[in-house]
Amino acid sequence: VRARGPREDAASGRRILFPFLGSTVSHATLDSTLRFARAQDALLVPAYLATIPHHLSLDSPAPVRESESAVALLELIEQLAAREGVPVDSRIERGRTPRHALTALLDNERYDTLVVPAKTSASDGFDPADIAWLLERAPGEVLVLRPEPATGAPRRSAAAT
Amino acid sequence: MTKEAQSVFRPEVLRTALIGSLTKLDPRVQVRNPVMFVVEVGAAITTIGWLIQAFGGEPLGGGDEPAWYTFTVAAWLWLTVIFANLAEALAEGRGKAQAQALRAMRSETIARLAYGGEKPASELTDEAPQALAERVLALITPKPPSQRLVRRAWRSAQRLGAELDLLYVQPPGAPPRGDEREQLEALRRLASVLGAAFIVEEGDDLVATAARVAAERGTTYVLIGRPEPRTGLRRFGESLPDRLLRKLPGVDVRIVADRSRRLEGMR
Repeated sequence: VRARGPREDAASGRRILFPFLGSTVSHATLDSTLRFARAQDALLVPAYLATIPHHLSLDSPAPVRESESAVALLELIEQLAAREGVPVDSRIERGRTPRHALTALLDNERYDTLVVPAKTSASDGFDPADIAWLLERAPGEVLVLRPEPATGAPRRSAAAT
Repeated sequence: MTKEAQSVFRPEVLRTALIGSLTKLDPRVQVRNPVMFVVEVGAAITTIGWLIQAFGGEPLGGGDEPAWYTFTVAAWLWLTVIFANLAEALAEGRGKAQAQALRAMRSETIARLAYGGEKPASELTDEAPQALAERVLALITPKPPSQRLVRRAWRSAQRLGAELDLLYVQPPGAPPRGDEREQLEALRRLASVLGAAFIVEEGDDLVATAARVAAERGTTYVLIGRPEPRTGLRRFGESLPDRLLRKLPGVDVRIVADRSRRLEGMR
């Protein structure tokens, strides 16, 4: 794979918001998102959604384990994006639930396309109820990616280490 | 530090936590914890219901429960809120107490000097090894690479058991606008999620401002991103890392690399 070196911005000015949660993101989802961003000549904004337990104030820092997952996964995404020549501007957003964090993210970030990974048995993602809610609420283009077909194909996922 | 010193049941920690559990009853504070906010609202309504009954009125909602029953329910609800606040305040108090203990350790610890004799650790100078609480300062700019710098600084701080400060030195009279403003807000949110202090200072000279903040905060590590390539006459001047090292004697200065560029070096 040819390294292209990182860029800080996108020539097209387009922004693709890629929210994700949990400790894994499937390679298939990442590959598709990066190919899409490259084809659009867009800036990829991967955003980890951290959940704050109800016994803590919403202003509290995210639990350390969650922050570690976020930091590791964002680092991995940035490395893969650099390999593809896709500029990246990462985020970590928090909320009581993934949906709450997603609401905050949508309020805070500009984007042209929202790419959301669907949950599967092999990787973390948004469940059907969250995706239905998102399709109703989120303005702009929404792209839902289901990482792997449920046909027993080989499964891989990138995990936070 | 002894186990006793770390206990959350020391009188001073308990006193602060008890006061904190009461001040957190302020609805503006409590609303950040929705579950307990709802309980508090319930407690307030039940208390009003009890007061109405105590002054000869009918129970709220038209029931026929006696006043002592309403009082008991109200008391339990208030206790629930206060104990939840107390638990949160105790956790916060413990963290503060540990930080204070580390600071106190510097003044209470007697250092045995290699060349003989003893003196308080707080009186140690650069000539002798120091045992201080670590503190990391990351110098950020309102640009996307600063997100990576902050995450890397947070990791370093975690490994060192250190507090993390983020510093943005803003040119005087030139607040960030447009994209830069958005980036700065995103960095502020990231700092909050990671539990870092976010500091904005105005200054013409990045190094002088950073040195002042580092001295005030007791910084032991400074992290910077990859410096901008120097052009023109600046090429002949001192580099940013060199200036930081000169202005911050005894402080480690670390440049955070962009790991995604490692492949470039291998080609």
